[in-house]
Amino acid sequence: MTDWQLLAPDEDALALADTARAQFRSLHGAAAMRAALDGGVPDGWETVADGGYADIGIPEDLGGIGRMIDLVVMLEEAGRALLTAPLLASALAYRTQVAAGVHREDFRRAPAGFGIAEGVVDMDDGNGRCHVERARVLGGPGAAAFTLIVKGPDRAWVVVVDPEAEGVEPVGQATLIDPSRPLPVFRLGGEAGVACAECRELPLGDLDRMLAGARACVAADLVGTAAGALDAAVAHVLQRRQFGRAIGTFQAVKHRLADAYTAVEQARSLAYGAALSLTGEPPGDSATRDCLLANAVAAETAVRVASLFTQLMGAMGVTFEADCHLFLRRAHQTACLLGEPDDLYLAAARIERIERRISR
Amino acid sequence: MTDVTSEFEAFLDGFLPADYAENYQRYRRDVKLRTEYQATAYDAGWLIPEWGPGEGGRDLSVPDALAVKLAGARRRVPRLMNIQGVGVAAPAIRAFGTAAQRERLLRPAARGDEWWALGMSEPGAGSDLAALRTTATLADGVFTVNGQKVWTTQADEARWCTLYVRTDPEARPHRGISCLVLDLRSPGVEVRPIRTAGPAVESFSEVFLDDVKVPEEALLGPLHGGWGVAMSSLEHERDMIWINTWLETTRALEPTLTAPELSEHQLVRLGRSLADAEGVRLTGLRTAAQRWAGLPSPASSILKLLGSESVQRAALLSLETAGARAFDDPALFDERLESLGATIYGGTSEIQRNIIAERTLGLPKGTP
Repeated sequence: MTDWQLLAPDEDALALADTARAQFRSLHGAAAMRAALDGGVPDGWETVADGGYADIGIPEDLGGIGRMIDLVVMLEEAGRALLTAPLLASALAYRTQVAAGVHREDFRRAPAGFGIAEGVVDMDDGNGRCHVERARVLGGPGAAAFTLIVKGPDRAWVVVVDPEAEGVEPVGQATLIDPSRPLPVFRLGGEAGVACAECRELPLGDLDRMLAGARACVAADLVGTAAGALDAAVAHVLQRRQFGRAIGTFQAVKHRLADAYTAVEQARSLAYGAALSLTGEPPGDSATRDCLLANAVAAETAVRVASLFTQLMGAMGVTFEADCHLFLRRAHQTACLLGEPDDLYLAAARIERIERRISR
Repeated sequence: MTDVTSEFEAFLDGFLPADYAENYQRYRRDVKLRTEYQATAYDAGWLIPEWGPGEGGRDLSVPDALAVKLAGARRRVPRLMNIQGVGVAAPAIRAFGTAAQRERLLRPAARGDEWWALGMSEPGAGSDLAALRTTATLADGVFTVNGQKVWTTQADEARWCTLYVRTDPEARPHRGISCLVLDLRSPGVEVRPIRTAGPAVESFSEVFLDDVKVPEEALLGPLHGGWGVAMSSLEHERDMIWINTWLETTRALEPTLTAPELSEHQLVRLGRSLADAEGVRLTGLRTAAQRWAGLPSPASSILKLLGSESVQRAALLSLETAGARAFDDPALFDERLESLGATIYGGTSEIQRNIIAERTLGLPKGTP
């Protein structure tokens, strides 16, 4: 089987997607998101962990199962179902740990937190002590370990820290677009700094390579968000009637949905392609570029399709009761998690121009 | 890389001039090289790899044939002079032709020795092909054809034309159409080239048909079964179509990719266009993979829509990025102008959107 044939997920991946879809649907993501907006605390990690979803995409020698393509189709289902269990945060943490070579099997026993922050890691004592003024940590409350990418002035670090460790203090919960995916802010350090459970120092230029796997995960989640919004929008325009006919009959509506469908398919192709590009050993600059593009396109597509869903709902679109604001919240918050789309396009273009110069 | 693609690469190394990649912009207008490439690739069995030996192929499996076509695109193999001959007419002759038609027509069509035009669009039947009004009446073993075709690509240089005509005026529109093999040298055929807005790669013409006599043996496929011939032959080269669009998009991006300086804004736009190009390539591959695995796949309409708009954005970016340098390089504007045709020919983007909405998303038919 050549690589590109896996762009059509095989039987194993399809079976996984079916199981995940049914199981994630049973967690009623939309209702859980509404509850979170009213102050509820999202859960569902047990279902996710018991289902073995945390092990997908982790290399077998680290006790994992499944391939990157399995991880991507599974996260797409999570996005589609507006899953509130902290599966994405954990996937981002594990991908980054694996890329940095600091993953341990026991990190997967509990939900993980993930963030990118500015700061410094002092490597003098060998294990690293982390100083970060503000770290926004996805999945923060309830996370057993935080995986942080710490950007310094001339170096970067991937660190894993215990949220219970001395020197970690919450500094407030920002008002959130999507409270079902909490992003609390923490301060790490003080004078002594927080001792890292794991630490890996990197040149700044390696950051995008380190983040490539996480970007494929974010892309998959956003493709699912977009696909979920598109399905719901299509269902609505088939049922809603005005001027004596279903509003889905009007070309003005049809064309916008056709464009949305095309965008979702393009985003999905890029997400699957990103997953396959990461399968190379070791993934090169082209994989980094593919993941940047997949992340950017999925981010823009999710926001665009969720916005269209809102528009097509008419006045219902701005009510709490309709689901479209849930997709819109999810899309906007997740879209900028690993950088604004424009910044990602720019980084991808730079990689391509450099590769072009080398190949000539 | 599989063995078969390395064998194909070796064939290309033997055929293409050593400075081909370097001077591609010049070679892409080299008529002699393009003509020789098609004939040589046909003879060597690389032109239509999934067909049999002696038909321009070597019986490759679908995935292997696709790998060869992609390798060809990466190497930017010379553009075929009469793409619709090998891509549309030849598959139709192979699938629907009588033994005599295949014997006479297939090899020269596929090899590029005889060119073909596709007689489809008419003044009143553009996107709506089933509305065509050119008639053919059969009497004493001869069709008499009257009517007019328009936007007929390369009709002024082609020898043959797959001419779609109404043979049953009583039947429902798409059930009364037949396909005839028209010899464009027949009396009563007048071809008038249409001047294009810019120096287009391929010409197009009006074709007037005034009491043209076409022998009954020139019927391709069943009488009144022309709609099926049209749909099937247009589907044949669906992979080649997206591969070409991907290639055109990357080619249109070339001036921007290699520009000495780009602003951040231009880099962002370049990144978007790279995503467009990758979107076309990966969606094309995904569609092929799903077809191969027997799964439902994203419709070819989305590839047409995505591909044509990608080419357009890329050409626009390269023209705008050049700024005043474009005054010295009219090719940039010509590319831009030509790219605007991409969302029109072969079914406009608006029609593709209707098809996607109705056939894929299941929205109601009809277009208020």
